[in-house]
Amino acid sequence: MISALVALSVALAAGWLVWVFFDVERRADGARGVGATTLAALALWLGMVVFYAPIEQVQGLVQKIFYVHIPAIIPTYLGFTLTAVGGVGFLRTRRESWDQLALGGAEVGVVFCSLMLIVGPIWAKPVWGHWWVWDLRLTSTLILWFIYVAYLFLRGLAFGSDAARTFTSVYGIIGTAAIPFVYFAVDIARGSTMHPSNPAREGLPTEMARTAAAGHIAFIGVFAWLVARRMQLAALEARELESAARGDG
Amino acid sequence: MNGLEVARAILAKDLLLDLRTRDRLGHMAVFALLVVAMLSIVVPASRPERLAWSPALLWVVMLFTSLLGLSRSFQSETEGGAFALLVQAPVDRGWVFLGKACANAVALIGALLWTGLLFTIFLDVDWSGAWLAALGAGVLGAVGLAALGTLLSAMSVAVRFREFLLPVLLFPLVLPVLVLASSLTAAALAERAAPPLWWAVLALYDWVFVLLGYFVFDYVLED
Amino acid sequence: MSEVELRDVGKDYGPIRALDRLTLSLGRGSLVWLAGGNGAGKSTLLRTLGSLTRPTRGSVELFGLDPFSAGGAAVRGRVGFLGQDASLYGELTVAENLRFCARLRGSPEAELHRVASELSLEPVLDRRVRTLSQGYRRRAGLARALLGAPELLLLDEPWNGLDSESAARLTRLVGRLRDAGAIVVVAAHEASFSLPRFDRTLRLVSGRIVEAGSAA
Repeated sequence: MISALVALSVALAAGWLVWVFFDVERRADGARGVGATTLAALALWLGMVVFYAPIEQVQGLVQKIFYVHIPAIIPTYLGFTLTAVGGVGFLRTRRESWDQLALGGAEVGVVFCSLMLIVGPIWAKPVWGHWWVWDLRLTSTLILWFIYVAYLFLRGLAFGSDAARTFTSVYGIIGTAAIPFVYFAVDIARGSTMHPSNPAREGLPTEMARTAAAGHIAFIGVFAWLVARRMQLAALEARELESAARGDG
Repeated sequence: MNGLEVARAILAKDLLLDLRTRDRLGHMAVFALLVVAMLSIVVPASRPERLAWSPALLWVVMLFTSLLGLSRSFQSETEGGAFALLVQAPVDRGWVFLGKACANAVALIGALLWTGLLFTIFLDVDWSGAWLAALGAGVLGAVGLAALGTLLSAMSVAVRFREFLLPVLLFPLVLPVLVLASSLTAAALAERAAPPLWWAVLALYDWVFVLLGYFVFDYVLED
Repeated sequence: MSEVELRDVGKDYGPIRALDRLTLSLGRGSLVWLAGGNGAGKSTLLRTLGSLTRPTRGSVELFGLDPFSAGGAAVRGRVGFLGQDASLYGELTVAENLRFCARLRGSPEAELHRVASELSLEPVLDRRVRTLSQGYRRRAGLARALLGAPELLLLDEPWNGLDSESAARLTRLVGRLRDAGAIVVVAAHEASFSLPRFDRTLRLVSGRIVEAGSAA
């Protein structure tokens, strides 16, 4: 039931972004409504984290960081997916919206990825005694972060021309192709994992599961809202550039 | 128009230039020598420790030496304005990629052999029991590095801060090469048979990125 | 339908509009002068015709095909291009450069000797391009562009750096090519001496064609 809710919110977010995609400048204004809903979801989540979720027996209060770390996972991977898909779309159709989608996915995805990487160690230190452990999930997330950052650097240093967008689209594609290999490589390099195994599989107590779900839904909302706004910004910037080039500026 | 002929022409031209000017190969060789020499001073002296670290160190040295060579993949083209020749070749531009990537692969295999020799001299690594498997792993690793390196080097021809950007783009994507090649080399040195899956994945990696390079190179040569 | 067709071609480099709504048709056997000041877009237009620069907008058709498409790759072999650089490898000899380019375009070895004698390059065939004078370098570049007898020849400021004798020879050469049916598009400043009699003039200002005349 809870996973169904989360899946539904992903579907809704994706659907909304697809709708925005077809007329970015005008439809992204609808983000106001999404923003308000998301704000409410965030408030609900925060409330649940503080008041509703129980204090875990073994780890204590620190465990509540879990409710920030876990919900950041879906947006991190969603961002990457958007970047890859946007890249393919742009190369095939040369339609601006695809590139705006890719850029939005990268810039917002890197934020959530950074969040995961910062919050994870803050949780890890009191619980396991180490700031960082080279286990499969953490290491793969770190490499993903490097790929995101490389994408953004490439974009910034390639003079913002047509070529920059083409190159980043290509990089998004080869980056995505590399991910499964990176996973495999890190797995054999590190072997064991110190990371806590996926709690959903073990069965979380209901309150924790619901709080986590609220986090997922809220973060997905934030993600979608940020991506839409970023796309809108990119579309407006493109229009500015267009008038400057035409000489009406 | 024969694409294979174009690829062969580019391969022959690059090998000729590399051997005639010797700066790309020479710089790679000196760099590797310098790094391995310094490593041999810094790494713990006990033989078992050196042996345990050697495969990983060898591939780190390979990574940086390759970077040096790969960043110059298109140097001869940019110096004389000859990049246009590659862009204007009347064939599918994937063939241009294949020619260039092959030339890079040859250079990297040369670097690998040289580095392997340096490890014998400076770090006492004995390849005799392991040389076939280590060479196999090395060739597969070099091909993977060459494929991705050629692709990314072409993209970074016209960007600022290329010496910074190329490694930033390349390293995360070639981590699998680093891990797999060094693990396979380690198994070879320990005279253990590595799981066939590792060989298969590294070969698959090479195949995927050579193919991908072929198909996207058209976009990479754009202005 | 003409051999060279540009429809509404535009090229932007970020905020800079290098080409703006260019439409033109060129037919066989014409010698076209691309005139205009610095930054007018002459080089960008030549590069677009030479498939070096993909237009941001509009379409390009050479001999009925899109040179930027996969299916149109072969048509690139019918175009010869000499940019502001000679597009040669400094460490290779003239002969090696020509041989490499011939292989790239699928031209036979005999072509090498044909273009070399056409431009009197025999004395320097075995010298590395790096050691040549500017004049010889430009001639070697032109020889390279002529490999395979291109039907569309694009020359960017070809008279730059040539002495009067070489310049006159180039003018005669360009006329001969036009008479043989090629389309020759030349970007040149008015100041270049020994300009040939052009069939058409395209004057560019800020990436737009402002004058498309036919010289008498």
